[in-house]
Amino acid sequence: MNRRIFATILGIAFCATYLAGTTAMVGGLHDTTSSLAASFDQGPVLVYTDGDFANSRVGGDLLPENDTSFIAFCFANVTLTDFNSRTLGNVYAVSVYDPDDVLGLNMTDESLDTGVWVGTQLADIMVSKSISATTNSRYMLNRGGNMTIVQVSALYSEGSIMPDDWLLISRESMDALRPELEGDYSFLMILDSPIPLKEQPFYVKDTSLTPTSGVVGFFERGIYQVEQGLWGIILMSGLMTAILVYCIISIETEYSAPTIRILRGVGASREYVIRVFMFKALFITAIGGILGTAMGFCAASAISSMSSLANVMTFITPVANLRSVLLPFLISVISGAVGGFWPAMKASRMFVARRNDA
Amino acid sequence: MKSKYPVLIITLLFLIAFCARLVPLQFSDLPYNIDGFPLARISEIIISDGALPDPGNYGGLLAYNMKLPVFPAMLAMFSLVLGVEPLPLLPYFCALIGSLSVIFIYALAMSLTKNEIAAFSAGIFAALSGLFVYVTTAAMKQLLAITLLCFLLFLYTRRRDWRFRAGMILVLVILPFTHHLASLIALLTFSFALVGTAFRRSEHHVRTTKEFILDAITGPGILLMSIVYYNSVSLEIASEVINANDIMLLASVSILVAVIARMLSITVQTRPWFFLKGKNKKVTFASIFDEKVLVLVLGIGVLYLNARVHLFTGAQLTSDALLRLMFPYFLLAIVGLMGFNVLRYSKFSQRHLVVGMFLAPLTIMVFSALRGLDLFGFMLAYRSYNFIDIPLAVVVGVGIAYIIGKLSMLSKQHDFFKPLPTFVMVIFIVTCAAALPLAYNSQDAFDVQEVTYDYELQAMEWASEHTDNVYTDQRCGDIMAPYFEITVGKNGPWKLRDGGFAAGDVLLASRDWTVEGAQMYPFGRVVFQEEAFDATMNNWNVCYVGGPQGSEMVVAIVR
Amino acid sequence: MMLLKSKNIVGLILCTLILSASVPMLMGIQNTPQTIFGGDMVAVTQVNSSTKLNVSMLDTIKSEPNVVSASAEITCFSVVNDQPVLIRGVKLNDFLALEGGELVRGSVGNPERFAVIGSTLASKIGLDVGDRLLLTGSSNPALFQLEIDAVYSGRYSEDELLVSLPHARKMAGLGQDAVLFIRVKTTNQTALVETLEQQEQAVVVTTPGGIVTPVNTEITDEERAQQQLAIRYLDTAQFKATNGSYVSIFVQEGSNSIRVVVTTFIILDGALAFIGSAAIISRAVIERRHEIGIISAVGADRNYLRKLIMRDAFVMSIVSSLLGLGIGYLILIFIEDRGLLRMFGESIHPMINAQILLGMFVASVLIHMASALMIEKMLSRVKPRELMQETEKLDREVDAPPLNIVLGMDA
Repeated sequence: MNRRIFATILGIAFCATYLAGTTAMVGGLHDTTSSLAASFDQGPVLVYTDGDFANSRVGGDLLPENDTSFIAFCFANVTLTDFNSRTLGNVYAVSVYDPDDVLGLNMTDESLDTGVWVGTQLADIMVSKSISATTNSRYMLNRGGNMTIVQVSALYSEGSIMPDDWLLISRESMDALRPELEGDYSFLMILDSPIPLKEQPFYVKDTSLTPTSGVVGFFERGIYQVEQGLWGIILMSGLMTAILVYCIISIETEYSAPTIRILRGVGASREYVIRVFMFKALFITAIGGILGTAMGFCAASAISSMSSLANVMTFITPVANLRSVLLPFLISVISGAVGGFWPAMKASRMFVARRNDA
Repeated sequence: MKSKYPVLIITLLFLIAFCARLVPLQFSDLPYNIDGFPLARISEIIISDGALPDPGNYGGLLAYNMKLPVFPAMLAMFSLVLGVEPLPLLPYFCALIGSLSVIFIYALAMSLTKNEIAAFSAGIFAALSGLFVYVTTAAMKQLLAITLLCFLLFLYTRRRDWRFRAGMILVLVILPFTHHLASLIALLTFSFALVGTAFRRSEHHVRTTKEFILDAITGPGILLMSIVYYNSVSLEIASEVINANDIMLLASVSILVAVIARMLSITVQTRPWFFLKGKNKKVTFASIFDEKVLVLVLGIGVLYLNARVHLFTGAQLTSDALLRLMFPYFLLAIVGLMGFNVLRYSKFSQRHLVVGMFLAPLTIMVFSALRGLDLFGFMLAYRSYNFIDIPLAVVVGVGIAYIIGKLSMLSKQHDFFKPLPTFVMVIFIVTCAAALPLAYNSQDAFDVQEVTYDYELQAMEWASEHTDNVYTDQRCGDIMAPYFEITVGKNGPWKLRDGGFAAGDVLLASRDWTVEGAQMYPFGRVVFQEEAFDATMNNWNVCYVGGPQGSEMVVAIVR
Repeated sequence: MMLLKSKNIVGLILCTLILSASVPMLMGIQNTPQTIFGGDMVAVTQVNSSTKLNVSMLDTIKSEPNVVSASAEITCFSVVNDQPVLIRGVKLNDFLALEGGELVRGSVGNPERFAVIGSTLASKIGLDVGDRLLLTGSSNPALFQLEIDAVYSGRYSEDELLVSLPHARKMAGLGQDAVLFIRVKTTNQTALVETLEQQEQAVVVTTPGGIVTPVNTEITDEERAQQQLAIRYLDTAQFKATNGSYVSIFVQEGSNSIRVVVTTFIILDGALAFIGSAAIISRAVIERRHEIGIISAVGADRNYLRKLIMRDAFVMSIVSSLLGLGIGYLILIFIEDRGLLRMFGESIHPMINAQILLGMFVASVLIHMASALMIEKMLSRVKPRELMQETEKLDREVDAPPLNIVLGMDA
């Protein structure tokens, strides 16, 4: 192997290095992010069909089995009116079914022993509207044409997971406000389950699962967004890489143009000559592709590994999958094939033109 | 050139090596290195059961070592033949096997260079240099694996004879069941050697496809099957790297190193110090001491840097004692560099094998660095380095032979220089001997205690007989858990420091924890204040005290 | 001009385009987490998760004569409609004054209970005034049902959702009166630091340039390094989630990971540009090898050839770098205008300024010239005759002495 061919292989190898290194790095970013995110406990998970709970519905017959700890909620957006005709709209009334009494409010049969609970923030809002929010206060709750009367039993503070601008009522009151629910629920909160949530009966079409602690999901999805941008850059650069490989191989083939003309002169057919130089081009690009993929993977691993020396702590590991291994190889081989075929065809045709001229 | 006094030289080398490897018996009769205890225990099980045990019935270190049964099986055979229990037999067994590796290295160097001085020097290096003495003395599977590897490499040089090839196949089949890392090293060595011979430009290229396939199958081919075995038994440590990402990374590094192997396997094309101006000359001193010395300097630099900066996260720094003890070794490495260049600039038919032997462990070291500068990478790197001593012995031998050859030519011209060749050989032997202490100063150099004393084992035995659960440090824990088969918590010193014990917990401690500290490798030692230690023991129920004053072993129950 | 051909220039344009189209975008990606927290303001932040800032410090800061405006904020991270959304807990009036922003639609009736959505975010996730959404907690489990009160337009935060401080505290698990940082627009940063030094609380002041000044504290890296080791080896998921420090380390390491990926891209981009340039220029030279061989044969020396090649390469480099930068600039503007690239819910703003453009131009020219120099050096070693035909280099194997001779022994 002479130096020119070695340099050609090296040039193609660098092109493949770029593709392999970047593909492995971006793939690794995705895989490592998702596996690390999955290791975090992101709190109870909400199950719903619409982000507006008033429109969300989960079938009552689809509630989880006994080994799953959950709380089921019914939600209504109501207008609250006191008996002095003072009104507060956009009040969120919620009934709670807590079979394991996780909240400690004894809502195991969806009734409240102590009646109706008002969140402290809701109480503040009511007071700002001159509506009394003390215990034993009575209100009318109105939703569309449906109405029910409730009497406040207590206030609940901001310490629990539930927002403190809700009004907790009994299921009976909720059925009066939303008779169309018919035993269904607006959303569930799954606290603990040995069964994967996507295998549970409540996970049907249009059901969404959202952890109540969103920071890990934020960064996971944020990194996936970056990934899309990086794939765009890889695509753009991959195109240029393919053109470069074409250029490199076409140099090599054009260098052999005199040889091609000699071969044609001694009687070789065009197809034979093109085949020979195609094989040569494919061989060079295959070797270069393999070397480049190896170099790319090593470069990506080196950067990831050595970053700790620069006090940059990272969890990324370049990933080896079909995409990061085969894609650079295929791009260089295909580009090389074109780079070998086209100049060889041109060179073999040129000889024919000259012979015809003679 | 055939050796004139082969039997004499072999006997001499064996005796030197054997004596050097019996030194640990001065400290203790028990195995040198705690890895010997599970191996001895497995041998005892083999003897009592009359068959290889099923790893599924055991856990921890026992199960892991049972999946690589050749060492304990051989120990059991020796024990039965000699009528000595495995545990007391183990140090002598290790010394014997380790000495055999020296003989194989002598034979390998002789087969490669056909030069008696080179072969003898290689043998002396292997017999006396500290790092190789350590790895062929310490009671661990790697000792047997290295010996088998040396034998395998010797057989490889004679593989054209079908008898040697048959022997090679037999050893290749045994090697994966001896040690995983050695199998990987062998796989890479033979693969690189194959790459070095498979191209037209090499003088000794493999001319026929049949020969190429035969070398591929009876070399790397057999060793590849070991991956299947390791995967099937979920071999610990191996399972850490048998995944797509790590296999791809190792393959990538191997491909790039294979290119280097190809380039190094042919006679060097560039002149020495090619980036400086100069003329092409015959093999001169500049050839011998060329730009590759920079690689050596880089390696030393990395070692020195790790003494100041944590290169491997979580691992310890290189100690100053290690740097001091390594100094003679560095001098020998320079001689080895000269020898390597002699091989590169001259017509040498087996260069591909020497190149393969060097590049295989370097490949794994590069792989471990690229995989991540963490504890696993650190362990992989330093374990792989042990295998570099085999080719290093060969090239050191060549280097010494070159120096002595030049001096001999000089002495023919001037009588004044007549004693110089002998003088050089003496200096060489003294330098090798000066490198020997590195084998037996693990505590200073690596902050690891290799010696286990009788009184320590007695205390562990007593504790295991009287309780099912005990807390202690990492060193004692790694002995007790496999050898006495009890549940051991190896975080005893941390619990003692942080007050994390509950009433009823049992602690096996040593008064040495107040002086040397409790060994918690690789996290460093935990040293206790003597007053605090005594006060704690006074508050607990001390059930056992044994050992020399100042180093007593204590078994205490937390109140 | 021997080498000056349109196809060569096009090739070099492509090499420049690799750098000009990707590097500003990559630097923008790297810069995005910084802009999330401070924008171009000075940020006064807590030292670690155990010592919180008190919102009362806001009044102290605002009373300083050099402070133009200040906003006490809590940054939370959540997912809305499967999109990562940055939630900013603010006092709305302070925030609007600091950002110079305004409500373009809707109004806020209750300053303690509101949700104001940035105009870009509103169009991305399809929410507007009057729509209700589910909002979950950040590092602390929580849930809210909020109704969009207004849409906001401003300089930086149009990808964000603004909520009240009490809501944000619940999301972040902060106590009453606690905030995470106070952003300050000031005419005198030094005076601000002096003011902060006079009060007791330990804080960290970060300038827009990223310079960190601890005030009334000393930050140690050892504790942080230990926590980073623990986050790797601990396997209790719940422990990780309930300890804010560990979550913040996950966040930091995520940003570091992006930085590592971006660095990889930039390094490989540079290498690719170099290789590409070398390939294009060597192609141009090889196409003219006969002419070069003839010139050498009739007496042209190496210096002459060098000047010839370098002159042509320089002209090609200048032209292609200018054109490549121009095309790359247009591509970046197109991507930014359409908000095609996003990260953590925020649009990525490519870093384009005169310095970066000049830097890329110089880098591009240097890369082209370095590759031309490399080609020229390789060419200078080849004899004129060899330029016109292929020759094989002889193997040195036959010249090498046998090993036994070198070792000074007889065969």
